[in-house]
Amino acid sequence: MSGLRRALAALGLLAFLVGALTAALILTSDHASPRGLLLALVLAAGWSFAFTGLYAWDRRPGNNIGLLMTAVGFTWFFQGLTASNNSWIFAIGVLGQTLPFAILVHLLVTFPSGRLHTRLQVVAVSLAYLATGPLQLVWALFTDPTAQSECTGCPENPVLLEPEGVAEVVNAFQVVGGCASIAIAIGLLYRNWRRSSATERRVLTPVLATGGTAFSILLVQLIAGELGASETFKSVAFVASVAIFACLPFAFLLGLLRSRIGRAEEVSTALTAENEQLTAELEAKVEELRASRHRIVEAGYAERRRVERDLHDGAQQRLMALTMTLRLAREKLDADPAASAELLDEAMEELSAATAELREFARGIHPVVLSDRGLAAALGGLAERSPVPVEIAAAPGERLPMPVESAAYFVVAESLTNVARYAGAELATVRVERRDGTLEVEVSDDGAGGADPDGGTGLRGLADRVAALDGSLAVRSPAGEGTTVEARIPCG
Amino acid sequence: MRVVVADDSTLLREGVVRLLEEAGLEVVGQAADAEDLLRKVRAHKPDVAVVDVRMPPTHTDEGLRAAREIRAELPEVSVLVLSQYVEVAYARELLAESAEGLGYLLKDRVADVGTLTEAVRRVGEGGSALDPEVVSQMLGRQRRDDPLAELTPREREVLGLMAEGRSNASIAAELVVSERAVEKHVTGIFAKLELTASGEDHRRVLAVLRFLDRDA
Repeated sequence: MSGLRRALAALGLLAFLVGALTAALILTSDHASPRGLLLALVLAAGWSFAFTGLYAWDRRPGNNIGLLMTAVGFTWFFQGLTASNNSWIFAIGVLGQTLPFAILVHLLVTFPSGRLHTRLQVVAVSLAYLATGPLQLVWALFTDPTAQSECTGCPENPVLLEPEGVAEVVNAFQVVGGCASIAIAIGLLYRNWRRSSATERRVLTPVLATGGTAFSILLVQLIAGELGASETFKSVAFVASVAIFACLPFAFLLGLLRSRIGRAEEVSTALTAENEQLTAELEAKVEELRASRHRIVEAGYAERRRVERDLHDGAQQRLMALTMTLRLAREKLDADPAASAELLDEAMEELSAATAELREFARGIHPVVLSDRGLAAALGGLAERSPVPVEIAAAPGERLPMPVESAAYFVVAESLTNVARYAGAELATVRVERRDGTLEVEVSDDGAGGADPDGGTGLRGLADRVAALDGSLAVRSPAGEGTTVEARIPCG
Repeated sequence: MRVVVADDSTLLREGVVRLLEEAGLEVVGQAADAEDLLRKVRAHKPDVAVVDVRMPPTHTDEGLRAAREIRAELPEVSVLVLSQYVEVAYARELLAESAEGLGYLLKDRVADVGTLTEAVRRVGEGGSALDPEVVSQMLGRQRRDDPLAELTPREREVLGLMAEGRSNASIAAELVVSERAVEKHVTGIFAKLELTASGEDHRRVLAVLRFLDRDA
């Protein structure tokens, strides 16, 4: 469990205990009335705001909405404190009981981001806090609850100040400020809703509908209280507000969970995880690249050694033998012309063998027809020379970048050599096709299969050659089902 | 017979010139690249141009392109192309439309005086010369349902020599048989392969090559 979650759980427990305490105060109150309704209003709205707020806080830790909802829940219990028979607790309750409405205004006008952006938002929220904070304090100091008609049996104000008229003036400011704040808030909500897209409305509608109704009821209650409406009307409005305020936090929660705003932290956590994974993949790729680069360099050296050895063992030896044969022929020219002629014939045979050998050797290093005529012609040449029948099922007619053509050529050449050497096949099929910017090279045979894809430096070298072009090479060789070598080379 | 020789390697070019002159052919011009070759061919109008495939500036297939240009521009000039490698693709390209007065020979043949001069003469007379290597590669290509399987070994030999562009007389001399015997073989081969016989050697070459090439 994270630190935040532990703290939220503790707050949840605290909310429960505060709720239980206020319930006890209400049930033992000698002035609260109607007791049942007050209990229902305080507990239903207080707990639901606190718990849904904590839940929202947990789900969207980067967003203020959860915090504000929780604050509404806790401050809501101040109303419960006014049921206390103790004059100090009662006074604290009176002081704080209007605070949740200011926080509600704050909550509604900043939903769903939880942040104040525009001047109007600031005005609405400031007015709300002014009316419920400092003005409420002044009002509370100058008000004698025992003198009020709807507060029969309320405890005395422990710090009552004179003169009496101040409270009424302050109250007038509070009502005007509160009404203005609520009106601006309703206007802002409506404007937000009008401007929002269909997706955004999915988020805003539940909050705005419930919040708008709650504010309207609040407004009606405020005005009705000032105009001296009937007790029945006040009770109906009171019950309606109990219901609507209990619903409000769920509307917030629904809207918040639908919203994408405030997901920043969640997204950033996901991004961090993704980032770590990408980094790991990248490191693996770098390692693979380093290894393949090393092998390519190694292969280059190995190739040079092979060229050197082949030239030394082949052409050079033949030419040296030839020199000796010719020298012998020259020595015998006068004494034994017949033997000399024989030696010369021998020398010529030697020479044409050396020439043929050099030619094949040069072709193995680089097939001229590939650079001159492209893949199709070069593959045709490979097929002509293959000891196993080869069917060229497809070959690209157009020219491709030289490295791509070269890699494809050597994949086919090496694969056909393997087919001839190991597969015992009747037919090899070559298919080279360009598809979606990738050259697909496939050499399959109907031979014995069972080739080891990792075995042999030939295939490994091919894989590196293909990988150097960001391509891939795969070998499938189930025993008894032939072998398929498949290369995919990006070719733009 | 008048010949122009084109090869960017002086050593090889002079060797070829010497061999041809020894064989009684008249070398009227030498060129080191394709442009030079075309200029000399236009100026001298020789019977044969002997051309190396790879020449400056790109060292790829200048010779082949020059050969086609010469055949198109001056049909009376025959061309013998010498190539470092046996590439069936090049032979196919060169002989795509006609084999008349055209030859494609492996460069190694210059060492074999007889083969080179015979090929030059044959091409110069409007015939064809295809390198035995090219032919054996085409004949030897592994096929499924090989149509050549029906031929007797002797018939295969005759088919190969026909593909090289040899006349019946030349084939008879090579195989040490009578011309009549060669004619019999040729008829037999054409019947088995369901080809239409043709009197002229260079047309016969084309028919045989098309046949050998048909499922490549």
